[in-house]
Amino acid sequence: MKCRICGKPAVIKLRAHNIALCPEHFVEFVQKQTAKAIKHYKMFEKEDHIAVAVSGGKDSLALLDILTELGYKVSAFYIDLGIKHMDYSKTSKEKAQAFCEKKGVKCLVYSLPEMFGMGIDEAARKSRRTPCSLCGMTKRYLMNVAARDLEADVIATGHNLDDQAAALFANLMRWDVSYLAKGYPVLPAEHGFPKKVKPLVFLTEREIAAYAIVRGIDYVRYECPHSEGARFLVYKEHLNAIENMSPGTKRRFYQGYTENIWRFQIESPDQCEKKDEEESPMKPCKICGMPTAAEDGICSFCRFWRPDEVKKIKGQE
Amino acid sequence: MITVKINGEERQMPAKGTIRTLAVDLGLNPETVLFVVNGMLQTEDYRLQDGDEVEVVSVVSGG
Repeated sequence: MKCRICGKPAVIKLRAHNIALCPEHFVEFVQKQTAKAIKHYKMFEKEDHIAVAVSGGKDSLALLDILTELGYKVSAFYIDLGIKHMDYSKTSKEKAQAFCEKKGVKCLVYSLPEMFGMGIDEAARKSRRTPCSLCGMTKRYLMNVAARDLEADVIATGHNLDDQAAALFANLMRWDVSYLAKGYPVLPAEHGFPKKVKPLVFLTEREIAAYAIVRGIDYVRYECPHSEGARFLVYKEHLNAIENMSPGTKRRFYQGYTENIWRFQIESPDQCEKKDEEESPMKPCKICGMPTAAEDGICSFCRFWRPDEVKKIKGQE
Repeated sequence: MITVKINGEERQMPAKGTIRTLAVDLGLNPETVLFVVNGMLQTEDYRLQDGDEVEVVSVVSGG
């Protein structure tokens, strides 16, 4: 198979685009698709400072590589969840830090074992919560902290087209309208939280993995032990089966949704009433100072990870 | 017949076999994998040679 652009041997065929490309033109293709998504969804400008959430996986390291190659001002941060199974967190951290160093990008590390003496597994066991729900809350909080510490204008994550399409598929299966209203690849800055963007939404997982291989990015090849058998993977499997029969389906599915998202953002009178009742003003957390809507003024992160300080505050009141 | 190594394990394949036929034999959806042969990413029409070392890279992650 030959490269459509230069005729040299191709390393990948992109059936959704009906092209085969050599390494050089494939790298150019991926970087152009990312630049196109950034422009199309008005994610950020050249003068903005972008904080990239790096996990050591293919998507986040590829994103860091692409943004630096496109000339953006980039910093990175890594959240060490302390997952001991197969040295998952240790290996991920090493790969993330090594790649940041190679690219000359500053990388802040937020380590749960160092900050709180335990990782996500132990914390989940003690609290009888699932590691995934605890992980979601913890990462959302630490992302905002990282943006503040790095003085960044925007947080960029490595979510790709497959991630977005699978989430959309799952939310549609449940008709979860509140989530369907929020699946846009840009989350604006509000209530003191920074803007969050997903610049890889035009690229499939396969394209990003191929980019990482072609660019020689050393990423963690195995999965978080908690994601094995996750329902999310089932949605991806079904979408990939359709994609194999009809290339371009995932892209049409997700991009069509972003053009029609406003249909899910119109609230019924019932929802408006409920929202008015539920919405309480944001205020700084009494412990960490990050914005929170909690009535007692203590954010969910501090309530979980800083119980001694919560007791102290409650005792003073 | 030729012998190739797939993720470290030897496997017999018909001569003139390609990555496409290998993917079918392994029951893999081509949208979910990449094939790295002797350290180089290859397209599905690559004709496998005796002694080739193939790494099947899964691209699907749990998010």
